Amino acid sequence: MLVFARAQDSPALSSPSKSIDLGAFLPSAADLETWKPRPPLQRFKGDDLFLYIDGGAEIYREYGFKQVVVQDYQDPKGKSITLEIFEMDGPESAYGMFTFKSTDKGRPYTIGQEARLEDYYLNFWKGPCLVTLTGFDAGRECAEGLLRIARAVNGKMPLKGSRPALVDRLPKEWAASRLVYVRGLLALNNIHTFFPQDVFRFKEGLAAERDKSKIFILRYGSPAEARRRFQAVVEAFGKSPAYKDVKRSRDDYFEAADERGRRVNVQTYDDLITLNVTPAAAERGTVAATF
Amino acid sequence: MANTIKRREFISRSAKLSVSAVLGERILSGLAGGPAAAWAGPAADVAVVSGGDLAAMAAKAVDLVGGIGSFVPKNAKVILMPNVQSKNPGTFTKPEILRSVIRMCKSAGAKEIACLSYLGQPNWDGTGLAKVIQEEGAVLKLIPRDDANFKAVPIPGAAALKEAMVMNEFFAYDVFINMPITKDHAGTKFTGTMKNLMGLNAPSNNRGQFHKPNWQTDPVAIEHLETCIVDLNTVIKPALNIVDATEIIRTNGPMGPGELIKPGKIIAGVDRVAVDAYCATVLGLKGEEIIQIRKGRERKLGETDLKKVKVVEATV
Repeated sequence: MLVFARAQDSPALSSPSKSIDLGAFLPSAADLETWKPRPPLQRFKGDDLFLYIDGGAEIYREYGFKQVVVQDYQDPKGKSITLEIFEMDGPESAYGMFTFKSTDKGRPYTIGQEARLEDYYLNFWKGPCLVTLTGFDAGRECAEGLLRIARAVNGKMPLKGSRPALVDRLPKEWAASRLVYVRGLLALNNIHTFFPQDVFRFKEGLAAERDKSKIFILRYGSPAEARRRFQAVVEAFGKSPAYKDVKRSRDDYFEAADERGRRVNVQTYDDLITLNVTPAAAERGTVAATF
Repeated sequence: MANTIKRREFISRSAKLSVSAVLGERILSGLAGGPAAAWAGPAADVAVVSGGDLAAMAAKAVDLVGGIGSFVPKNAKVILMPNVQSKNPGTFTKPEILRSVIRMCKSAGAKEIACLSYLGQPNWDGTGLAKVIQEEGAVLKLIPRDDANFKAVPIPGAAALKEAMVMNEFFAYDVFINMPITKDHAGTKFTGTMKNLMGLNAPSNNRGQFHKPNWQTDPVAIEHLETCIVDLNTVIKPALNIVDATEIIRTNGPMGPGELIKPGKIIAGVDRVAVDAYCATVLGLKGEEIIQIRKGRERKLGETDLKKVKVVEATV
């Protein structure tokens, strides 16, 4: 899945099995007009991420974290921008963390394979790397600094990868929604907590959110596995005090209402379980997904 | 008096200070309608102050829960613990709130005011908190991460964490004021007063005991983490909690960068669980939905039902 454009020329990577030299992607003072790297350069690998993100490393772990480099840049006025380059397990993981860390409130840019500038920070992903730049405020000067450094990193990064194929299975009417690619329960529960327990046990998933409606596409190893899990999901909804009016009208479909009156429609087909959460009647006015 | 006091003494002192606050509340309540009540009013369990001047907001919040004199006796050595985890906007306690609390402690006659931390100087410099500490004449003590700098503290009746490892230096102080910022947390969905205490506990213990091997992220591992947080809170009781909810992240916590929201509030109280339950609402959550808050109530550390506590709101 991982494609290394110009891999032979790359100083950063000699073979797919080795870790990338993330330091090779850091812009130098010569690459940037006003921004200069300010020591120290920090590097964290594997479990040492805990030393850097004390208390917040779990989500990176869930997506598949390998290493990160962190470098601050400073302008002559003393303003500071922090650059983090994360190497994840693969492009799907990098894409997943990108979607998890971004919202639909920012502005997209053509940097890397997908970039988004939000208030005072910018994320982009490219190949197996997620790049996060954090500035100091939501002003123009900060945004220009973020974009300048991000473009410089992008220019040094000869990597390419594919988005997860699951993204292509999103219903067309949801294509413009905020998407989050999930690899585990932690990310899923940050978007919507159906159950505190791991009822779904999916292999990978996709969440899309628009207005007050959400859809979830959870993929399993095979159609048979999805069907077996669907049965467990039906039972979990039926037993949970958080849901009522659980009605199974077909073998592959049921619906329920949650404590807030939202409707939850659940179905299985192929190797998927899909869930569609729509607001309570008073809040309705959004489009349900058609799978 | 010796500089070093035992943990039991420390906890006892904190408890006495808290008791005095409770007594104060009862006395003031008894005067309802009298001349004193007209200007003082009964102390709040949870004070919520809105406004634009952070120093004035912090001062008002402390006043509403009984005044700094209820918590900091003359000549006390005080620890203040702001959150300094990251310099990203909305992830650390604002320097002006720290400045205000340092000044309040000074006005109460505190002998020494210190911040203890195993996080490095760059964290304190990057957030601007080091500058405030220096300007206000307080002390920043950076504690190396080695276990030798932490003292084993057994936790009677622990549900998960049998033994905490608390900074040795912590036991040399009389009063502990907890000063977190409330914000999103990808693992637990919420962080506030109770989780901030992990900043006093040894990193090795946080990593090896609170977090399951390989950072497991299944619900059992997350519940274990939150249970450990509650266990830790059973042996360390802040005299007062002052929470920054002025500008906070509601995504990508606890480090950020994430989506900023501006509730514009400072929240104070002795009851950590009630304060956290209120802070949860600021993030659009219910206190009982957060495991550490619910378990805090179950372990009788405080109240989650905000209808059962006195929440006083003010604007300055």
